[in-house]
Order: sequence, then C-alpha cells, then structure tokens
Amino acid sequence: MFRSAVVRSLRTSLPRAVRTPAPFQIRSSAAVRPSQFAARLAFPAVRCYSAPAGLAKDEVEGRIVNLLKNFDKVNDASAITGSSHFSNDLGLDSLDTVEVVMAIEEEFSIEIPDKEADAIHSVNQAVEYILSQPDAH
Amino acid sequence: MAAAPTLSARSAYRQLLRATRIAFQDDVRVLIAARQEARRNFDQNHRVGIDTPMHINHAIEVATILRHNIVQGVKDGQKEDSKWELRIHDDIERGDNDSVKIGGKSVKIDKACGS
Repeated sequence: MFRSAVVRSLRTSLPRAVRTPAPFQIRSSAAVRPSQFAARLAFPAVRCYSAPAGLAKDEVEGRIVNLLKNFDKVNDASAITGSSHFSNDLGLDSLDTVEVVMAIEEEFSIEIPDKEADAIHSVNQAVEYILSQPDAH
Repeated sequence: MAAAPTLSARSAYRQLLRATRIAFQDDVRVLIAARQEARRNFDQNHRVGIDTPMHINHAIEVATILRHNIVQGVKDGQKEDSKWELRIHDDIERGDNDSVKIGGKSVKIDKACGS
C-alpha cells in the first residue's frame, strides 16, 4: 500500500522533473548550447590516481649520468653520455661496476637480482633495465 | 675449507655491500669506512690464485656476520634525556645463551632485547 503510493508519487514527479528544463532548452539560443554541453561533459570526468606515473627515458638517463658524475673513480666526467660503457669508456673495473649498479639500485629504490646486475655494463643497459621495472621510482 | 666455486667475486662483493647497507643504515661515516675496507681487501687479492675461493668465502662470511650479528643503537637527537634504542631488523639473529644450544632450530623471540 505504502510502496505503491511511493511509486505513484515518483511516477507523477518524474515527468515534472523532466519537463521543467525542456522549455529552457528550447528557448536557449544556439550560442548557449555548446557551453552547457561542455559543462555536462566536464562533470563526470574522473581522475584516476591509481595509474602508475612511470619514468621518462630522459629522466632515468639524466639521473644515472648525474650519479656517475658524482662517482669519483670515473676518470673523465665529460665522457659520460647516455651510451657510455662502464669499463671501455669510463675506465671502471668490475668492482666499480658492482658499486655503480648498487648506487643505481639505491637511487631508484629497487633491488636488482645478481643475474640481471651482472648483465649491466653500460648506461644504456641500465636505463633499459630501469624502464622495464614498474617498481622503480 | 669448503668453498662454493660457483659464487663469483662480484657476487660476493655485492652481498657484502648489501650487508653494509643493512648493518650501517643511516650511519654514513661507518658505512663509507666499511665499504672502503671491503674494497681494500678485494683489491689486495685482485689476482686470481689458489686461495681465491677461500677469500671469496671469507667475504661472504663477513657479509653474514654484518647482516645477522650487528645491532645499531639509535638515539633521538632532539631530546637530551632520550634513551638509546636498539634497531632490531628482520635479519638479526635472535636467541640467547640458552636457546643457541638448541642448534639448527630457529628460535622465535617476540620481545625485543632492549625492553
């Protein structure tokens, strides 16, 4: 009994709600309409904060190059580029390479397993590895 | 001495650096000193010889000790009368003089040593 009354009242109120903006829309000029449309579109826009930001390649490369510039065993700081090889171009030995890879780990707060860490011999390879890691930041 | 031949010097060095990072966290002076000492010892034996596996093993043992048997004392610098607190991390070996005699079993102690 009560429910049917509610449904009836809803049914009667519904057309009224629809009807009220209708004359306004008809009366409104063509110039007003686009702004209304835009406002309606903007409202349901939802921002997704959960999406991973990701790292740009330039940023990763810049951070690694900076890190190498601060590394005192590099004999020629101007030789550091995005494609430098640790031992061939920068004159680092294998232990220095381990230290550089450890420093990269600390910089991007990740842990590189032994197997992958042994395969990193140049700035290029390091950048590629960091970009392939979703946890790196 | 039985040494694991598969483990390379690089891997041992990496383990050692990781151990220093855990053992001397936030203590830059000691951390740098430890890393320099590690580097010095590795440089001393850079030539591959018959005792290389032994040296590598030694490095790994040092790393294990650093990781499991060193506890840092931390004091809140702001307060004059604050207590020293032990920073017990997950890798610290737990147990006391009685429980080490059990041998081979992992001993679980809920209470931190300081309290």
